[in-house]
Amino acid sequence: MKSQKTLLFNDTATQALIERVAELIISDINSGNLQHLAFIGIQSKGVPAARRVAAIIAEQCNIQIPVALLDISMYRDDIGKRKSLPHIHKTEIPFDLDDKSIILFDDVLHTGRTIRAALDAITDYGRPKLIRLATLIDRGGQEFPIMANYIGQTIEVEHQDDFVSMSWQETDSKDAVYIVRK
Amino acid sequence: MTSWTKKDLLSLYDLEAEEIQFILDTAAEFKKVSERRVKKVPALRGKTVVNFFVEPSTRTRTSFELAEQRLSADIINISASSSSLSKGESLLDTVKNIEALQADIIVMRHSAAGAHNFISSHLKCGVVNAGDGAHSHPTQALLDIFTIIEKKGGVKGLNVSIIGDILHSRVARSNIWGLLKLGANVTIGGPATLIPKEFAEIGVRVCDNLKDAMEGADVINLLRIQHERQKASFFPSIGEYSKIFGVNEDTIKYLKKDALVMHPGPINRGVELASSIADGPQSVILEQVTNGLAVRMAVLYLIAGSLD
Repeated sequence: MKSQKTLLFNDTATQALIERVAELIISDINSGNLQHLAFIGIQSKGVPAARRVAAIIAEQCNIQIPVALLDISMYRDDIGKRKSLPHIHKTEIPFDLDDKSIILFDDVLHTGRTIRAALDAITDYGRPKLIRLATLIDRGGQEFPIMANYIGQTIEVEHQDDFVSMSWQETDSKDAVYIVRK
Repeated sequence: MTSWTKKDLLSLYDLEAEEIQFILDTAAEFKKVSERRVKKVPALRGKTVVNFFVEPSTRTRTSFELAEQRLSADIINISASSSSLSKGESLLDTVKNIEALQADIIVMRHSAAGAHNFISSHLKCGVVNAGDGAHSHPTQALLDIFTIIEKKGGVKGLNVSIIGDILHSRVARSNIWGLLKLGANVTIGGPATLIPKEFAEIGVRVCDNLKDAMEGADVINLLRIQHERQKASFFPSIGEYSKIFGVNEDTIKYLKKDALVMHPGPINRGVELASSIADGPQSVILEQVTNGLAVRMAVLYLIAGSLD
């Protein structure tokens, strides 16, 4: 059966989501809540999100925030439940996590299972002072008690099985958000 | 190739080049796990791995066991002497019993070539070949190729010479299959009695002297003389073998300065390889051991992920 893909946000609207997240984080930086700040982008779609937001903050506030890459494959709770395992992307954390304020980035917040895996992975690398979550889209349907601190936009999907999918200029040639019905 | 789907690793002969590359790419990420403060991931939590070594092994078994521990698997070790094989039970009955205990993966070493192909066709659980007779030792070849790629940036077009007892060597066969699939030029060298000429038919260059095998090589992989497998005399004496095929201070001059010296271990120091070369700047022997752990973690992870 062919899946049906509907455009939800075009490139301009997607850019607005990124700017919204940057604005929320800048506001927290200005209140002095985020000492020794660093970003971690979850592979693969959370990485451009983290980099774009870091670039906006660098431009507006003249603060360089280091961005790490994290692949959570080894921490998934469905290894052996899936039919096969996908390619593991690079994990690169070029700084010590101890006592940092970490903002974790993913493109879409859905069940929360990816975030659970990422939290376990991060605590194996070090002991940050705090971890917060940024996402461009919160689509609801969380299965774990996990909420995002910085949200580009909260949306409602018609069917819980619908899948919110992002494409990035860096990897897919354009910025956009789609709803995919299987 | 975007995902791994095989439940067994029996031989590199069965794999496509892109499948070999997939394992090596996965291993590169697992290598980093062993470099962290917490050298463990929960990937195989709740999975049971049985290490069934019908033939003795120290380094391969230890490496698999550590790989399993770093993946958080539950582990059972069975050796030939502690298994019911010594009471006359058949191999198939033994592995069926292991599977009935809900084992997810059996890592087996066996002296009979093809033993793994036989059991895997009767089992639902995953089977990893940790060596079968003179046939295949896929994780050793994978770690050798991983080490070459790490040091040389790739393997395609490189000249790799495997020198020593090719006839009895599963390491040689596995390396030859893997290296040819990835586009390397493979040479085998050693006493004519220990070099199966059939390899020439699959594109391997065959040499019967050390100088030809070493000159122009980017990598030499030296193999131990396997006294325990040799039922006949293939050369007059160990002393003579060492004199003609030993890599030492005199013969290392045939080798390019930036070429790698590899050995799967255990080394017979002073026979196929002099201590000064084994411990010298061109040797990557201990890095092979480190990389073996990463490769085995990757293999177990991928297989665990493709079990029903």
